[in-house]
Amino acid sequence: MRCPKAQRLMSTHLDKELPPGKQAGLEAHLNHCEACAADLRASLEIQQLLVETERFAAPAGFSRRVMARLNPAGPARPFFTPVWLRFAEVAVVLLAIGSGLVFGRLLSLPAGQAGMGNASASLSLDLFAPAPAGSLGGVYLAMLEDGHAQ
Amino acid sequence: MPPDLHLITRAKEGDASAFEELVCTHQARIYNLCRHMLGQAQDAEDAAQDSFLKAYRNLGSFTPDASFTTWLYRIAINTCLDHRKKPLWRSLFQKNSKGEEFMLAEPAHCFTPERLYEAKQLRELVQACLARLPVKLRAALVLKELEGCSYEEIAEILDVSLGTVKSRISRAREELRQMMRKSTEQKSGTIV
Repeated sequence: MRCPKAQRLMSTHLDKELPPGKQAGLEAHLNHCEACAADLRASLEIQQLLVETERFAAPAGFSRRVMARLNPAGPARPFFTPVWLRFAEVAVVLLAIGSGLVFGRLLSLPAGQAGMGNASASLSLDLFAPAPAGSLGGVYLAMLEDGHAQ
Repeated sequence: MPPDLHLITRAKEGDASAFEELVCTHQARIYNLCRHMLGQAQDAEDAAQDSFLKAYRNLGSFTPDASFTTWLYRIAINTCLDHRKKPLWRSLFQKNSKGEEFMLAEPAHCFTPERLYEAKQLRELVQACLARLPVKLRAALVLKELEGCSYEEIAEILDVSLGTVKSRISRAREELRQMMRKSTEQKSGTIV
C-alpha cells in the first residue's frame, strides 16, 4: 500500500469502519511509514480533543421562548399599528369629545331654550344673558359690556 | 409507540404542551449543533429556535418511519446554512453573554503562545479550527464527532450519498490536521 491510499483509508479507520482486509493493509503500511503513522497519531489526538469539546447547553428559558414564538400571547395588538387604524382611533376620540361638548351644552340650557332648533345658536354667548344681576356671571357679563362700550 | 412518536401525534393534533416536551427533549443537541456550526451564542439560539419553529410548522410532513432526531438535525443544519447568509454587519456585532449591550464579536482564534500550552486552550484551538472549516465539511464532522451520528444518519441529514459523507469527513479531518499543525508551528516559531 502506498501513502495516498493509506491517507484515504485513515479516516474510515478512525471511525472503525474499515473492512478487515483493508485494515490489515493499512496497519502493515503504518508499521514502516513513519510519516503516515505520525498523521494517524495527530488525527487520533484531534479526534480525542473533539470528543472532549465542550457541549453547549441550551440557555435557560429556551423552550419557553420557542413556545412564545409559536403562540404569541403577549400584547393583544402588534407594536406597529397600521396608519389607517391610528387615524380611525383619533377620529373616534375627536368625535367623542365633540359630541360630549355639544350634548353637555344642550343639557346645560335652561328648559325654555332646550327646544331651540338651531344648535349653533345654543353655543353663542347669549346663553349667559339671563344670568341674575348679582351673580358672578352677571358681573362678568356687565364687565364685558363695559369693555365693548369703551 | 416510542415516546417521540406519541408526542408528535399529540402535537399534530394541536397539543402545544406535547410539542413543548419535544423541544425540551431535543433542545440540548440542537442548540449544541447550532453552536458548533455558527460559533456565536446568539446566532446559535436564533438558529435553534428557528429550527424548532420550522419543525412545528412542518410536523405534517414528518413520517413516523423516519427518526425524529435525524429529521430535526436536517432542519437545524439547513437553518444554520441560511443563517450564515445573513448580512456581514450582523455577524460583526453581537450581544454579550448577558444580552445587555452590543460589542464587537471576539475573533475566533486569538491565542498567545503561552496559552497554547494548556489543554483547555488546545481544545479551544480545535474549536477555532473547526469553525474555520468549509461549512459542508464542518457539518459532516460535527455530526460525526460531536453528535455521534453514523455515516448513514449523516447521509440522510445532509441529503448526500454515503460516499460523499465519508469523503467530507476525511477531508475535514485532513484540513483540521493541517490547520492544527500550522498553528502549533507558528507557536514554536514565535517562541524561538
